[in-house]
Amino acid sequence: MTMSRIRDHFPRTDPAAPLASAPMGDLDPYVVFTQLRANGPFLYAGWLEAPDAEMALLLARDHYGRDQVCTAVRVIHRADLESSDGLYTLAMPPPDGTEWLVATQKRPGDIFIEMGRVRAAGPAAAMDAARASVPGAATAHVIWVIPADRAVTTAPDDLIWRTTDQTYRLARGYRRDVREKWTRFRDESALAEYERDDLTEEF
Amino acid sequence: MSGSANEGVVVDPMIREEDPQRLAEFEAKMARGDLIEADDWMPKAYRDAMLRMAEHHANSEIVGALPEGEWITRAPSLRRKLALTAKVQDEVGHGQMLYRVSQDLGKSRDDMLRDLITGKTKYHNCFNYPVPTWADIAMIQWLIDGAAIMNQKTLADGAYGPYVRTMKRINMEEAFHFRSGEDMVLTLMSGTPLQRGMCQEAFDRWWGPALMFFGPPDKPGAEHLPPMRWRMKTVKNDELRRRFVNRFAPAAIDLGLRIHVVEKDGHGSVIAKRPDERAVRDAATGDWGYTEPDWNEFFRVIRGHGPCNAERLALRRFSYEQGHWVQQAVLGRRAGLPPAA
Repeated sequence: MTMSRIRDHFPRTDPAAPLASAPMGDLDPYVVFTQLRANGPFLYAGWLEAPDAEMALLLARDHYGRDQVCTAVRVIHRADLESSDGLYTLAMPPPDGTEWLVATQKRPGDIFIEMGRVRAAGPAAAMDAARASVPGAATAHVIWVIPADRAVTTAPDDLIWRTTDQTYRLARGYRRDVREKWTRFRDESALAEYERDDLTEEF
Repeated sequence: MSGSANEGVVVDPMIREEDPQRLAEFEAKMARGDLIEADDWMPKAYRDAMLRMAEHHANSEIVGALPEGEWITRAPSLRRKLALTAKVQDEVGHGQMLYRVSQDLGKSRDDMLRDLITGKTKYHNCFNYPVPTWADIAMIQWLIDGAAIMNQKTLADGAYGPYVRTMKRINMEEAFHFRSGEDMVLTLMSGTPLQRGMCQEAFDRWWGPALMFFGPPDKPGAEHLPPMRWRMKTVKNDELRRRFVNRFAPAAIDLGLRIHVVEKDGHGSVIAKRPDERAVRDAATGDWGYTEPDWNEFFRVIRGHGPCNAERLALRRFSYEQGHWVQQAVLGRRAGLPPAA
């Protein structure tokens, strides 16, 4: 079947043939937090790679800001993270008295949630200050502290999740229609059995 | 979409070379149900196998977007077009997240992409089949994404923390893919005889690959081998397949679809079919029966001889080479024009 000119006519290179270009290497890793409602906490969303923070923010908006309602996106270079479990070490400590963002992971496997801010001289002092004053930090499984001025965040008036109808990209946008259509084919018990394996957590 | 639950990982000989004390501590963590993080000590065999699994999964996500991407321009309505565009964006995003997980296990993203397009690494076999009609898009989203959810729900119970967290986020997006596909299948099966016929033909093409999705039958004692002992996978292939058939066989029959055993030509077109007489519910066990898919076909496709292997890889390669100047520009190097198409 004809799909498109470009797809019908691109060169069919033998996979074993060597590539014309040399490897380029990788970009820098950034961790992404998203804020799902105004004034709500920033939640860990995932990672991405970018050549700089500006590009990281652009990619983060598109990649992590568009699968659910989202009011703000924040990116942090991995070299700006200090982790209480030693996984990440701050590459360049900021001046004394810097404000630090504090994100905590309550239990292993949980996502990190930004829980507060502290002022401290250095990452170790920031970690101590977090345990003393930030809710939940004292008992958290892992704490991250980040110099606040190195986190890059979208502007307050930035529209990330568009206000037009986007239910087409959410599971809940289909739920009612799908159920109504199924009732033309199946009775309630067969439908309930089928729905048992549905994901309970969804966007 | 998903990588296979079974990567055929062979690790035992490498385990013997590990420090016995550290290995014992690692095994104890596994037995306790602890999560392993990227900087934790892990046997080389575990790191290699986990990398191979995550890389295979990442490859599958970005190759899986190719057949669906072909249909964006010919989706039957604006809403379907928007949904398919969003789905393709999601799939490529899943690939980027899984390459990130893989990088922390020790392989650069560029190397992974280059190994994919030169055929050194694999991706899921189901993406090597043709997608000739819109109903195939519906079937992919209903059956293949449905299988992916069943598989990935169990992978989210695994032991490697970064993969588990990624899987949870991916699964939330997969729910949209599945629900959208289910809606498309229901719409087609509620439609004209022509639409229902198109849906049946697509079902005939995808039922076999969906059964193969979970990998080949388990070897005896699979639960004691490292992939399961180390919770890289938590449920056996045959058990996942049983759950899938129990869910989708009765649903398909209630929709008016008929389950066939099919014979395909080298292009993936169905050339002969007969009703699958085993596709009935066993009153004693409650399980639905099925005829085993053609496992020779499965291995033939995995080895690169499926209907669309060459086309998928060539398109990925073409995209990589055409996009090289963008890579250079992003990295701040002198960017030349792309090679002539």
